[in-house]
Amino acid sequence: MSVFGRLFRNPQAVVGFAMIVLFLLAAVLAPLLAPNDPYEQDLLHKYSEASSRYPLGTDQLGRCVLSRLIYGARYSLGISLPVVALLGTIGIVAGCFSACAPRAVQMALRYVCDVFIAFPAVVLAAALTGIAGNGVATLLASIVVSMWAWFVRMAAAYARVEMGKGYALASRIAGCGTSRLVFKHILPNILPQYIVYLSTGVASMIIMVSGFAFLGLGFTAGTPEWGAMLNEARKSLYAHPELLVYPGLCIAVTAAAFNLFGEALRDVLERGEAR
Amino acid sequence: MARGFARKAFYLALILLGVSILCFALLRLSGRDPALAVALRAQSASEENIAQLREELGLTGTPVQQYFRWLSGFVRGDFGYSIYSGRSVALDIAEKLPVTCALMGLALGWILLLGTPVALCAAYKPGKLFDQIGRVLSILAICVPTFWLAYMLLVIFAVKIPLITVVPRPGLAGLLMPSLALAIPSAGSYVRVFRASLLRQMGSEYCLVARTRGLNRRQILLSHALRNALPPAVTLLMQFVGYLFTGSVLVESVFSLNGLGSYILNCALASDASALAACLMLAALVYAVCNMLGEVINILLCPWTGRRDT
Repeated sequence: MSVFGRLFRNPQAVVGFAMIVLFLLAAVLAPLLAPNDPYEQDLLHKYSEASSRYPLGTDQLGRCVLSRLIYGARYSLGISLPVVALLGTIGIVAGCFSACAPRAVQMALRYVCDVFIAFPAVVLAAALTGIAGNGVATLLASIVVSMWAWFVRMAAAYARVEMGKGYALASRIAGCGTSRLVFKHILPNILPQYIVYLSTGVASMIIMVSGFAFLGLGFTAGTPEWGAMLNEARKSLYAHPELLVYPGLCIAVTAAAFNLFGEALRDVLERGEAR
Repeated sequence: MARGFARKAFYLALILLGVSILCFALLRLSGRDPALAVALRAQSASEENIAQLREELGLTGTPVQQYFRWLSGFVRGDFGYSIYSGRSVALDIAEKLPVTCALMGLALGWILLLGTPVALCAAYKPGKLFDQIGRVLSILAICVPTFWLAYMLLVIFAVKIPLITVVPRPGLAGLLMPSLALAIPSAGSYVRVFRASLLRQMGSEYCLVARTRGLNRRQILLSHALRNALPPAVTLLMQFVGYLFTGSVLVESVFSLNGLGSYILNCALASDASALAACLMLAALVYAVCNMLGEVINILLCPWTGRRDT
């Protein structure tokens, strides 16, 4: 049975995958699904209860909460998925090549990665914002700068394990060049485990991005991003705490979806190898 | 063993050096001229004044000279001058570091207090109900954003049931709730890693031998497997210090705590490059020290690992 076959017999994987698809659809089809314009303010109806026009009520400026939540999926997924895809690609290629490289190069790369890993992400984001100004570009730059080293390190660790196996040595003896060894042998073999890491990586990226938005880094006021919505709802702590519940719930459930799927994928792969 | 330890310490010192170069580069990339900012604040922005300030703040000379001057000042405790607060950065940090350290320390305490029993009970009867529940709870804990959890705790314990005040009481008591919010996501990771490590030990040969000698599962778990399973958990906890630093920025924002995290945020929004560079160095320093500490603890716990005669 192929990996996909085993994967979709695993209930946790199915649940996780279904949730991911749900959020992706919400993000892509947001204009169709949202009942109202997420930016439209209706100041006469601030903090209103759930109604037919506003299914989850309105926030402190009279904007439809449900619409803002649905559009929020665009920001969370729209930033996390491309960034993880980019970093994942850089990471796996750099990691595989470093595993084939001479020892000095490996140690140098390891050193550079360790230097970058020593920076906590938020502190770096704050520093870059202080220097380059507040905006989405700065946010993306700080995420890329603080996270790239994790992906490279992970891929390099997996690739090193593969390089220690018999087939890598046999390929080398047969005259396989480095590029071919990496792209035809090492990379495909570490891809499944690496994808598990990417899946959990997306989950932490979603939480990280919303954390930055919560602190006011990267997004303009009024953006329907979940973290930013939490930030704006701070004033409603006493009167309308539910405004604090919804965005956070979205963040948590989306992250949970990716984590569940990643975990299930890892279980399926491990059980497959144990056979 | 001592040689490996010294090598690791040297490597971490090298990393700190690399971090300092990056921090200094970030500092110099900032567009604002600190001398001008200081002069404007003191309302004496004449040419000689600015030149003199430049001299004082160490902004003359080539970048390499500036770097060494900055680094030597840093090592001596002179962190420069904060545009945001108008005081020396060292003074600001000395004021705010204890709060953040207390927050992170309490959070580590929570992780150990909550996570260790859960992991032990899960490893005691793997696959049974408690283990399944524990697994779900730890995944949920990992997915929950720290700042949202902080607000949920505030809503439940300060608004709905007035157990604590929204603005925390000064001193350690007021930090209990914030540190709990900080700790829970990391506690989820900790439980999973610790449980996996315990189960790996329980499946190893020496535990099987203990079983044949008649020890029951609980005795093996507590007297043998626990000690050997600790190193990966300890390493993870030390890595958490980096996450906790990040998390403390968020939690301090929620609970309005006057700590290093909110200081960093305010300096960022005020483009205060020298203060930010100093804080970045400090964060990396804390990370390096905690890594070293983790190594030391692991060697003390399991001195037999790494010895060639075993």
